[in-house]
Amino acid sequence: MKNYIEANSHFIIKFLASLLVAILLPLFIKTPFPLHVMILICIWAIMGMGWNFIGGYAGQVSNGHALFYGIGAYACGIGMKNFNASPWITMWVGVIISIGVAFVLGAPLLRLKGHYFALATMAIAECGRIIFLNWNYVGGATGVDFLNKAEPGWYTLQFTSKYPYYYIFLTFVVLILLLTKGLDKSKFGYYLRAIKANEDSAQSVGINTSRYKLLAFMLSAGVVSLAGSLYANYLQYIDPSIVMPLNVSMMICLVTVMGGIGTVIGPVIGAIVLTVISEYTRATFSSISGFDLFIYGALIIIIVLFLPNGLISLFRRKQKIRILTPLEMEERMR
Amino acid sequence: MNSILEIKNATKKFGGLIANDNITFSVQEGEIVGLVGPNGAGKTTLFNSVSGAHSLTSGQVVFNGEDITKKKPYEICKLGVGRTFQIPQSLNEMSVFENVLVAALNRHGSISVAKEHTQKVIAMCGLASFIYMHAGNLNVMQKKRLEIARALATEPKLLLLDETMAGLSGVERKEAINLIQRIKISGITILMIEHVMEVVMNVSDRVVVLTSGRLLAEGTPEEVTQNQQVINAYLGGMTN
Repeated sequence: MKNYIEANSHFIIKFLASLLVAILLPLFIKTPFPLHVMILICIWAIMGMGWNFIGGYAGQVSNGHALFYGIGAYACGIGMKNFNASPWITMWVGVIISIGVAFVLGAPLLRLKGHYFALATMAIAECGRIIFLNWNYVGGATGVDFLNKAEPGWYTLQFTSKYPYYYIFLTFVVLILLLTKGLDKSKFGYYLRAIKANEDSAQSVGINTSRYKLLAFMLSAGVVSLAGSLYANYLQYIDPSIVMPLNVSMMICLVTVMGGIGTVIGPVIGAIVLTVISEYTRATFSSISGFDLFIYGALIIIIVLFLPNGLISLFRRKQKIRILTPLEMEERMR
Repeated sequence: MNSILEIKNATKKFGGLIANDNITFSVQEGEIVGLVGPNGAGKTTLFNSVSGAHSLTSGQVVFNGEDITKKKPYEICKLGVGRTFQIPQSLNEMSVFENVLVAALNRHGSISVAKEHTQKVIAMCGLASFIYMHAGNLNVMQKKRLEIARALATEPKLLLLDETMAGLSGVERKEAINLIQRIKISGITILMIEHVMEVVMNVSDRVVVLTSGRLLAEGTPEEVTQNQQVINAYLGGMTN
């Protein structure tokens, strides 16, 4: 334990400092819009971290995670509207369904490599959207509106103020961040990185690659589903075009890739930067339609051009090619 | 001595091409067997069949009394067969240490135990000064060393070395021979593909010669070098 704290003192200090900022910041905010942006940051951070397991660590680029986002959202929506069930329970039902769907889909899909996997997941997510669009039980294209049915409170996870949402979502961000940190340097984390680097080579050193890819896919589906549940409760209205469109799948990738793919903190940084840019350009340039997307796109191109390894490379010293001297070697081997 | 690896009537066809034709031989525990033959003789194909990268068309591979013909590469590795690749397949974005650590996790569940084991293997293979370097930045010789280190870290009983000497200079070759002998002393059986005759003759206890997919000769290095058929196959003489 002591060793662990010593080895990660850097991370722990940064983590606690940013947590403090995240907790205190809303107290200085009096208008609802910045708080809305911060809530969205939390949602995208959870989604990015979820996608990071399969897309970042295992290197299997999925373009279909909107499916799990939708499943999570609908689990809460339908649960509240039809059964008056607490989102605290239905969000876990959503997670279990998503993990189950990921298990069934992952077995055949993860056999595909590279672009084919990306295309197949995209197609599956679109199928999911069309199924929900034509499914009367879940409200079809009109969606699920579960605002009127419930009284605000902890049981229904519906509040008139934005503050409780923010702090609940922040808790989830912290929990998933710690989960990622725990897995980062574990056997699971190393195995996923090995699969990303070279699948044949990974197999030759005893890694059951299909099993580990499937586990990563299920884990990431569960986490993204959780984000969907939280978002549905914040919005209190969902339909397939809000929670399952293609651009949600794309945004998940973008958040992670921009922030730093396959890193613990990268998706969170990506979520902060992208959400702030997107929401504020929309608010600022609302008079000229489409101009906000132009600015947004231009900024993304600039980031990708200058920081191909993601925004996280700003905070990281570049690792030099370093050969140890015999003295250092002896020190390390002791 | 009992045989650790038995290859029985191994045949591998790629469409109409017969890469391995009815090959039978066995490797005894604790020995070094050299697998030689001209280019295209089917040596690497045979290696891939043993390590599970593809399965045989017909025939059988038995490792330590267990039939591994239809097993997957990771299962075969778990049973105790380590392999290197002719073209080094290192995990380029990871450090040298992590490369070996991933392999060490094969037998050790806990990271800290695996790390200790990793350090031993790295020291043995002479890679200690490169542990922080990305595997992608290594040169060919270091990459081949890393291949051996990764295979060793899985704690195999049988090690398959695929041309680990090719492209090495004289001094580097001596170091590599030294490493192979140390691996043998630690109790690991070795089956190696090698083109460099100097190495094969010096380290092998027995030599198996393949040519165009068939087993041509088998015996001690001296026997094999005096075999007329082998000389013909290598020097292109008349075959009858």
